[in-house]
Amino acid sequence: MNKMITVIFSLIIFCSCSDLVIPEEENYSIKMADFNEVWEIVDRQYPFLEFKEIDWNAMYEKYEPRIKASQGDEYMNELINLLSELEDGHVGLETKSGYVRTYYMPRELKDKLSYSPELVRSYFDRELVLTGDGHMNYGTIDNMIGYIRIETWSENDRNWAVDIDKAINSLRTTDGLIIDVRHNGGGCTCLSNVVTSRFIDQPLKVPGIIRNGIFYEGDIIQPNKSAPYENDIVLLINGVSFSATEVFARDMKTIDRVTLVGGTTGGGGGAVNYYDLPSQLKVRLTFQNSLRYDLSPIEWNGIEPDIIIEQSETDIVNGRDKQLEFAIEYLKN
Amino acid sequence: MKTFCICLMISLPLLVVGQEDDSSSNSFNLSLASGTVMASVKDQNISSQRYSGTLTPIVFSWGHYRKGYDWDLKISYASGTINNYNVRATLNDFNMTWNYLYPIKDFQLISNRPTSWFGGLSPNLWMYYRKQEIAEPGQFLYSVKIALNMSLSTGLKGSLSNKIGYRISSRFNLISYALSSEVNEGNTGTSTKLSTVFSTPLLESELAMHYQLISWLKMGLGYRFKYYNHESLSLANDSFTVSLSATF
Repeated sequence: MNKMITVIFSLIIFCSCSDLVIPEEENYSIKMADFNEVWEIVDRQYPFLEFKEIDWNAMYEKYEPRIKASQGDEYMNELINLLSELEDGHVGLETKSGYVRTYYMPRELKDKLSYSPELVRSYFDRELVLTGDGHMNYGTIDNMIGYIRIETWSENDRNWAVDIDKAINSLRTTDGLIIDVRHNGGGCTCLSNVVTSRFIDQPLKVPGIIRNGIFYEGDIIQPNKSAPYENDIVLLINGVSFSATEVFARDMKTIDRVTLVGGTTGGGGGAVNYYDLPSQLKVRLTFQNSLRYDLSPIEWNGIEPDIIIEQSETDIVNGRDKQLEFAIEYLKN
Repeated sequence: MKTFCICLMISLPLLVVGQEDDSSSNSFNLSLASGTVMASVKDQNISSQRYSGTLTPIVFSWGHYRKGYDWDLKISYASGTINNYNVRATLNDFNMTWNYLYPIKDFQLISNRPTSWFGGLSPNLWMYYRKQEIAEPGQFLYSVKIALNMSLSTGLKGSLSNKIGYRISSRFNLISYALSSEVNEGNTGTSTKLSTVFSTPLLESELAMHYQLISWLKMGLGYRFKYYNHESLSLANDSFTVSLSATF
């Protein structure tokens, strides 16, 4: 009996039951179905293959063997690698684990650490006033220069018109206005158009879009002077200003009394959609080409500032927001 | 993505063995163990694939042995990395079990005379936290499960010599009533479910041997297998531990 128990114990020590009771799942058919669906969606919907000179057929040849050779969940990494070939900051893969963005634009990476909201607040004597859910805040510098910070254009239930009118009315007596959309990653142009409408004097016909190879005329933004502001404006932008923010910068640039200061925006010029894959993963993909006023794509090109003021992480660490300082001096003079 | 699961189970074993052999009518036992856990997990909320890996456990137990019954509190924490080929996830597993055990009788088994025990209400709190590394931090999902189980267990323990003892036990649930709650960004779901061993099986088996170093100090080697299956989560562990126990 003693020997029997010792032997049983020794055998069990060297065995592992956990892998036996949790079997591996074979997924060859589903991963190939996902790969083919991703390739076809991009081939069918993505508007920048020609512009970016991407040979999408060659990408199929390149990645099909990799997908076939992958095991288990490895194929998701290969799908991410495939989508990263598009070099598009809007593109990603939605897994059950969360969303994976497949590419970061070079200017975005360059300016990632060159802005600090805490440093900006140090230029104010008083706390900035938050509107609604905090996407917008505003204040005055030296009681002369107004400042509005817009963090995002994400859709929400709030009435953005109320928020922007409140901010503008509060700053109506300032000598100049700084609108800061640095590090604003985008959202809905429906919201950025609300803000644009407050500053244009004439109806603004925006550039059209290209979708599925077809050109569509742009909308007309009507001026809304519910909260008029007639003094000069500086719009601060940088490489992390992306997507809807670039559309906003594009349209604000048409206004004579608006000067864009900072760095060229990220270069993400398109609307996105989610597409289901057979495995219940989703692909987030640009399906629309948004244009600049010269009819070149915003994608990759971005919107250039009127006055280039570059700043780096070192400037921030040293307590200098050079772009904001330039804007203040520019408006004072 | 992070998955966080808390499971509270109360077991009513009919027959369970889990205590070290101690003939003192009133003694305390303090034990610390560590070793390795080989874990296999399939969490359908994250992936249909099996993830396997090794975790490093720390096990602490505190027991009080009386003439009429024994109780002990066992707390274990294990963490490590699990993989599906080159895709990784980190796993944290926490267990807390409180046992009440009542001696029944000893009996003759071949050349041995092991003793048997009856187990009372045994609450078990289990927390499972998983962070997948395929994606950037995004949705946070946690689930809370509270379950009341009626369990059936068997076991025996005895001595191989004056210095060497052994213990074999297993526990599984018959009926459990579970409350589950899962939360991610903007979405909360709560459900309750009455389930049986066929829909929510929980099985734990343990085999341990100890060697008496000195009168109050023992060194032990233990193996424990655990299997759990509830809705989207299947989990199996092989645990190998080395322990030091002090009795006073």
